[in-house]
Amino acid sequence: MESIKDIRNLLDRFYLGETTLEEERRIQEYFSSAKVPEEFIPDRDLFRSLYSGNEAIHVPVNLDQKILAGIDREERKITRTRRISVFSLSGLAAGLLVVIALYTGYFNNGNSARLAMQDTYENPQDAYEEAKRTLAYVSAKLNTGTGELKHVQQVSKAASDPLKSLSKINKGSRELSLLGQIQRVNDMKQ
Amino acid sequence: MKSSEFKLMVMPYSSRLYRMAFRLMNSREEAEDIVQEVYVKLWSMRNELDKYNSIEALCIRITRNLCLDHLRRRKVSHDALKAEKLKEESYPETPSESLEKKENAELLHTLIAALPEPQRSLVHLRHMEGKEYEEIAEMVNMNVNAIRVSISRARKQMRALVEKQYSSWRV
Repeated sequence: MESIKDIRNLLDRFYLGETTLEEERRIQEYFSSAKVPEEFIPDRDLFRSLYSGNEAIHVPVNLDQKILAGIDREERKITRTRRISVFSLSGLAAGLLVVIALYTGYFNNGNSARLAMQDTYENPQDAYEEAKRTLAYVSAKLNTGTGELKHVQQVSKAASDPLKSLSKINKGSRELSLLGQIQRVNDMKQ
Repeated sequence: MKSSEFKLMVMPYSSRLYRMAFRLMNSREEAEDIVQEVYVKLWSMRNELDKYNSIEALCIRITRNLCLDHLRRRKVSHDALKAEKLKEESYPETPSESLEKKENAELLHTLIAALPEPQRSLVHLRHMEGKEYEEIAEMVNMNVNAIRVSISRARKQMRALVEKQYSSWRV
């Protein structure tokens, strides 16, 4: 059993934050069993509330289930977010590819346009001479082509002469058909 | 870490974490939400839990930090009036409870609700959880001397409140 002097000493140290858990347990024990002097009544009430009041908090019976359901919900949310991120990233990558394709395409076209417009001769006179020589070459080739066409004309003429003889034959056959008609009229008269 | 290992390692603390959250928030709903949040956080860290010396200290630290974040957001004033209003909601009356127990619970609620942070957390950890100063230091990331000073102030303030109440009853 603690003496009043001991308790007073312990309480002084308690309020200074110097007591150990064991000493605090001794004070608590004293207040829970003994009839205490009036000077200690506020201390006793404080101790009783500090050491028994916590039990009155009712923990929800389904707390653990709610916790596990919360974890499950969060996991599903994370999975959904990851899936959305993958879709967004692939969309972004596709967009980037299109941009890169357009960019490279534009610059390649620009290069070919520039190449087409580039001069091949620095001296205009040289360019003129080269152009003249090229045109003469093209002209010579064209003349050779038209020379070949003379043979085609001869073939055409050769084909048209026998056709003239055929028209004479046609004329003779028409006259013969007239003679045939006269013959039929005479036969009818008889 | 598998779900079963996780449950074994951290689920036993759920009631204690709820009580602490309730002490700090003065609301059952918020305490429940916070404890769920704590466990979601712990689940996201499940593969690193082995690195911690004390899982319990980690759980309490996360719970306290989340409570403080919530309190900052709602800018609650720790006045006794508010505590009085919440008292009935927080402690549903059951016939088996003795009047004395109920009175002790209500008194504790009023006393703790009147304390500012970090005193509120420290008193909870020392008196309701029975933690050594060194353990508390690890949980709240404070040095032992600062904790002693803070707890000393809280005890003096609580005693003054009890004495005031006692004097008013005597009159």
